[in-house]
Amino acid sequence: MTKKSEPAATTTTAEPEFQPRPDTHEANNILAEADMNKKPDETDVLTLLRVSQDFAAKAGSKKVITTVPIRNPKRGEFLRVHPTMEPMLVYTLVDEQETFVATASIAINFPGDMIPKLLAPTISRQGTLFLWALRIPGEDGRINNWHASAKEAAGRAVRVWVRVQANMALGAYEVYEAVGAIPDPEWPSLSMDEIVRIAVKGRVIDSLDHPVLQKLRGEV
Amino acid sequence: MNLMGLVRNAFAAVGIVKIWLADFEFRSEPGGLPEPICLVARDLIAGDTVRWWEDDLRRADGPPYGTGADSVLVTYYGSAEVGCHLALGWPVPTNILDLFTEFRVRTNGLRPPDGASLLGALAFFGLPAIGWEQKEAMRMLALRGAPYTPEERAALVSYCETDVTALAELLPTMMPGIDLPRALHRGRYMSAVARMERTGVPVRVDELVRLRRWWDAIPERLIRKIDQSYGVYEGSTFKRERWRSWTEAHNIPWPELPSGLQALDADSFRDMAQMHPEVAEMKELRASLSQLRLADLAVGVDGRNRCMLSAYRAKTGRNQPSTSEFIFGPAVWLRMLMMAPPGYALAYVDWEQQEFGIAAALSGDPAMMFAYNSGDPYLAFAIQAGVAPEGATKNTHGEVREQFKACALAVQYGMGYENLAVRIGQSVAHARRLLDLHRRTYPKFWAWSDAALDYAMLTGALPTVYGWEIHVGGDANPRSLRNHPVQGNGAEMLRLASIFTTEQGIEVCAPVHDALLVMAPIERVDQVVAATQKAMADASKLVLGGFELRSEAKVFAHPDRFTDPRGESMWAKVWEIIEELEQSGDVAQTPAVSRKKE
Repeated sequence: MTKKSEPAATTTTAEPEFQPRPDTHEANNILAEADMNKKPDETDVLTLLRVSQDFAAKAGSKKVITTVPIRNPKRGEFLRVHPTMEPMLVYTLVDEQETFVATASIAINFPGDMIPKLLAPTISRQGTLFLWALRIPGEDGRINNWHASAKEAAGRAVRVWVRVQANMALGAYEVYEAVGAIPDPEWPSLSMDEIVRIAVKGRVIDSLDHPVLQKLRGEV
Repeated sequence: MNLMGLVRNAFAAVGIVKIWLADFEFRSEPGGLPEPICLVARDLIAGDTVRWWEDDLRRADGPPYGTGADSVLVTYYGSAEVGCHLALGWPVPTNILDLFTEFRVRTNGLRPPDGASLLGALAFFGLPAIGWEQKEAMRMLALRGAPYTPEERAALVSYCETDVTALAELLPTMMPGIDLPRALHRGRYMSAVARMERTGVPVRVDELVRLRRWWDAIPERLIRKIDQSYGVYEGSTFKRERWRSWTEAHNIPWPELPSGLQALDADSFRDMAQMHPEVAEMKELRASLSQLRLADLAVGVDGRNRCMLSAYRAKTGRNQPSTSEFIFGPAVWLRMLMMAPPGYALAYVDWEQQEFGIAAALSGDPAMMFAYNSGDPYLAFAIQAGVAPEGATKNTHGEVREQFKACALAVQYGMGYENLAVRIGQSVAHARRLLDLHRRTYPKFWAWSDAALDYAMLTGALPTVYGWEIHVGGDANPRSLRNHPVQGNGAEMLRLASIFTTEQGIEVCAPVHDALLVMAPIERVDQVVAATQKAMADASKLVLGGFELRSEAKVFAHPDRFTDPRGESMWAKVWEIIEELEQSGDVAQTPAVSRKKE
């Protein structure tokens, strides 16, 4: 067999430096280093060659919450109320099925029309964030069974998954707790202010000239 | 810019200082071993070219280039070159940079206009190439075999050299895009492929000869025999409306096309046969009638089934051997032709619930990993979802387990709830609930799966752990992209296991999706199975960052044949027919063990 002459191992400075792809830098360096110290441990080399499969950390996406409804729980929906965020007291006015909120200084001009409610940040088992609008006792301190049972359910939902179901004969909501080890919800990283801001976007009554109030006064 | 300097520096960075480009011309009969005809090799740095004819090759005790850690052999589809090394008794190169593989990974998921052949790659980069006609003429000349005139010899060597010249053009052009450490890892698999192709799968040649002799007379009788249970054929014609009646009578909800007709493709039959065993025999019959070309099953004179494994051909990076040449084709019953030679045993070693395990480990979903480690992930899923109680078993909650198994598999294949409903024979609402339970039970898996799709769409590519990328083309399919990390990493795992086993000297007959078929002397088979299982465990830990997948082994010691319950009934019926034919005294077709391809 004819043996061919061996090529020179060194490179000249005039030649361009090879620029490996960014994700191969580390592996290249380790391989070169390992080679200098004789045969590298195969497991180490193969471990180093691994490309991370944590796609979210490399270039993923995150959900941006742009809508937070103000509503009551839906039929059959299991939900939890945020354990630490304080519910926010607002005055609400429903116009054409849209809930508007007003400040106390505005609401005081429309007793009976503006209903004070506590907005409790709530999440369904399907991960839908909403504000549960809970009635509070009236000036006389009285509260009907519907509202009382809803408040009771919200209190329980701080600790466990619950669903509420209207029982007309009873005149109140019945509360069902989930049994079994259902994991706690993953709450979006939003503050209460941010949640409310998203929820009431474009539906804040902050002036007596607001079109909804003009309509209420019969001016429009 | 001095491209040659760039190439040298790139290799020097990983400790390689000798770069050779090489190409063999060889011939082989279907199922046979390669017989090298000539070799052209070029020292890229010194520029020297070696041209060896067959007699030079036989005289040499090794290649004209180094095969150690400081050398690299640059090839285009390198398993062929390594196959020639093995045929010549030469050492296998430590480092292979296979430009076919690198072209595939660079264009995977896209459609290079001229394909992934050497000429296709040259055209892709706008490099000069010989014409297709000339290449084909030379290929045919090589296949024809000796004797060659001096002019033919010169033409073959000259043609071989054009491929080496093409490699010299292609290498510096492709080098800036090559992820070299991982490319060398991919090249290493080409050696494993060559070793597996050389080992081949032992089959009962006497039975194959009888099968081939009578095959032309078998289908009609087979239809009559099998259709007794179905009543859907009219002569040799499969009647759609009768199949609809049969499925309705057996309460099997069959998938339909948008037109309302039943889907009668091979995949639908395969899927439905998994869920409804009573469909299995019809699936086997249809696969045999439509896809089985016995003459193409590549069996060499030594009784081994061998074909090109076609490494890296599938988008997932899996092998894609010809379904008609490879014994692990769609007709499962034919696999029962496999039998180890006297004194030997075959062992089929496969990972248990490989795809579930990969999804669990790579997503880092703790509940899913717990389910895998329970040993029965499908039942564990049902328990975790609160549908089966703690302590439930396959016996107490078999039906629930089947539904959750179908759901877990549906998720792996990206199936929607409508198709799942059909597969499990339940309402769409029920299927929707099952998939919803999967999302709730394994939220971290779903977040990871969503992120994989986002990553692919944002960056244009999605890599496996060793960098097998799928690129996002204009017709990207979100379902395939989402599925890529599981399928592609499954392929990585099998490649690693193939490397580990073949380099230990284990005789690996074939890689099969999530399994290795190995062979060993009967007295050593337990030891070889243990070594194979260790290699598979090591491969799983490397791919999955430390998470180990279980494997199981089935051993078939001579004279026991390889068996697969899915094909046993069909196998028995085929042999009943052959025996009837042999007793009838009919004139059979001419038998042939090995047929040359037309």
